[in-house]
Amino acid sequence: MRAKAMNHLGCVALVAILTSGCTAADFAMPTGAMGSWGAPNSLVDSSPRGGGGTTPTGSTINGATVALFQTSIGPIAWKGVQLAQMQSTGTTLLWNAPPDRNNQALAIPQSGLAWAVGYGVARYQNSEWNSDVTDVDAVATPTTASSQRVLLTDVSFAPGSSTVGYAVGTRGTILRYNGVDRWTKVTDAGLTTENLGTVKVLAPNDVWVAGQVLMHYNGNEWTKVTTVPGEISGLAVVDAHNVWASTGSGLYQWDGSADWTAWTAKFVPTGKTVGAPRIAAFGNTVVGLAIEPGVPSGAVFTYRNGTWQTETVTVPADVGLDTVVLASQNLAYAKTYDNSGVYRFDLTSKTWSYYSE
Amino acid sequence: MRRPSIVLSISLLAASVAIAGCPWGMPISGQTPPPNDPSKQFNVDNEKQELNALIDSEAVRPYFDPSKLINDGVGIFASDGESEDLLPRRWGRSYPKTVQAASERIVDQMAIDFRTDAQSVLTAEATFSVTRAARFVADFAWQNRLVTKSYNEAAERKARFVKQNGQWRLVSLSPMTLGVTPSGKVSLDLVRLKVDGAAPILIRDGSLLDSSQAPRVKPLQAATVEVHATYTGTSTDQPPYYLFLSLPPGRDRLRLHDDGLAGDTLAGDGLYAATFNFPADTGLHHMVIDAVSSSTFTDLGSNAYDASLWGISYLVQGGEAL
Repeated sequence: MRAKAMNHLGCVALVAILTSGCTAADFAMPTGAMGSWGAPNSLVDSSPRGGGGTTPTGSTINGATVALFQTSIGPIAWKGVQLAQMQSTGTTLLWNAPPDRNNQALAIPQSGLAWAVGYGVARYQNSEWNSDVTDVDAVATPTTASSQRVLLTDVSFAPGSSTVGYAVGTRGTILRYNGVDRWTKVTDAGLTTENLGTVKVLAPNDVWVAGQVLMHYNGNEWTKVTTVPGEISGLAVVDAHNVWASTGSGLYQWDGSADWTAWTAKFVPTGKTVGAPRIAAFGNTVVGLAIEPGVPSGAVFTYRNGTWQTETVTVPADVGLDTVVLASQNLAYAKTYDNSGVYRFDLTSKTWSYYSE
Repeated sequence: MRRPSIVLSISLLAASVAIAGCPWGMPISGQTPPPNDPSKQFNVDNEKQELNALIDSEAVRPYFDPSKLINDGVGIFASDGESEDLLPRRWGRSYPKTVQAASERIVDQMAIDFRTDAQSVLTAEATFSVTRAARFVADFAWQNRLVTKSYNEAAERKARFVKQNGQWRLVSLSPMTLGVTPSGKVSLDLVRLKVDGAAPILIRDGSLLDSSQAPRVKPLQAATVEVHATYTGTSTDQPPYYLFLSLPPGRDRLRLHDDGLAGDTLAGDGLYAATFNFPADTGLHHMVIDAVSSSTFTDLGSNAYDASLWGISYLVQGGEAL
């Protein structure tokens, strides 16, 4: 309806913790920051490179945080020419940052190999970032006006695989990694204008993409899902048969049946919208956290053992947060949109604390 | 807490409700006052000091509070749920903490032109301006993070004062205009406000609105706003810009259309319109008209922010709700 009643927005933050009973094989991300990788600095070589390299645990990391990435080994901050891993102990380890191409997401399929996406794809391998890995027709050339270029928003690899990968972005863009050296555009999904913000790859024949449309790829064809209303801000995968989606009208779950379109609403907040939710799976638990910008206080909703609870919380005063990443089911980090700092949120005590610049 | 000095605090000149009027939009006229001479009645420093005192007075000060117009500290955000077309479900402007901390220092420059007319009435036409760092923040329903863009914002407001019986009085002022610096490609140039039961109020770019014609409405009174904007660039996006209305402190934002429906009298004539109701709370308020380039919403990876904003003051007077 055109003429809407002017009203006030009250909701600031929404936290949804969904405990799943599923016991299937764990396709989810490692539950700890270290995952199965051992020391985080094994991601790349330890030799300093242009301000990168590694820094011993416990050192102070200087420089404003310009982006936060949710990765399979935990949250990673982009601080200038460095990437730093956010850890609950308050320490971080550094790696070289990718070229500044407005990077939106980071994937780390195996030790020593990383992919960053933004205006194009960049690969970290053999201690170097290489941006020449994307077909020009997929995302336009670097010299094309930014308004005409595709901005890639997410990248994902199948668990345990460094060859089965997909990336998504604006203008209906889906890229598939050829497993060797190139990312090429997927054309059989039939998308042209829809913006995509999330991709989850479970296997070569099991891929979910979401944004202004939700689709699944079974290895042969793409299926559009219309049973989740509105646009989807994120997906969380507990396992191949337990997938969650966050929307402005609540959280939805796929029932794991043979019907890719069998999604049902699991939590629909009344009278409030869910702003920019971040959801992630930790073992069998799905955690959702959304920060409403511009309002210093609001409500938290938690779901434990089948019961929703509402609590009032306070967001750090005069702080606007643009990105939230989840380190565990009890810990999240959020970055201010003026890059003035990173805050840590304890989901158990519902308290914020300043973490770093 | 002690208020800051006037020059540092002047930010937004809003409609004064109890001030004698002069013809709306009339260009300033008369002669330049004589040079400063303590022995005569005109001294520019003294006049400026008196003007500052007027603006900082208890009666007028509320009309100059920037937080009531376009800056609520961390931005104004619509809350209409899902995205409409390619628009985010909410968006707004925000100011870095460093700017917020210094928010009382809003005015960079205050230029005053003094004149006297044939009746020796002293007139002052003032222009207040400030440039500050700001950020555009957008929440797209299909993303799990907010899109932010940094830009420099230029704000300006003109006001006219007359000195009668030894007292300065605010007689007219322009909308508060906000744009990007350097100049953007989209700009507002006309707003027409139609309040039920009253003559339409027309505001053009650069014009001053006399206090006697400042909008005075009743609680919840219905109205229509018509807006015309100009886009001087080339854009592959259609439309090249969007127009919006918001009524702070309400956090919703209403999109204006040129489709011949809901208050728009003729589709495709370049006048965008919307119908709305004024708030129930009495007192001074401000309506905000936004013209935002489409690329601001579609070019997500760059700092492409191009917009023009007018803040127009109005008074909700007591009375029965309509």
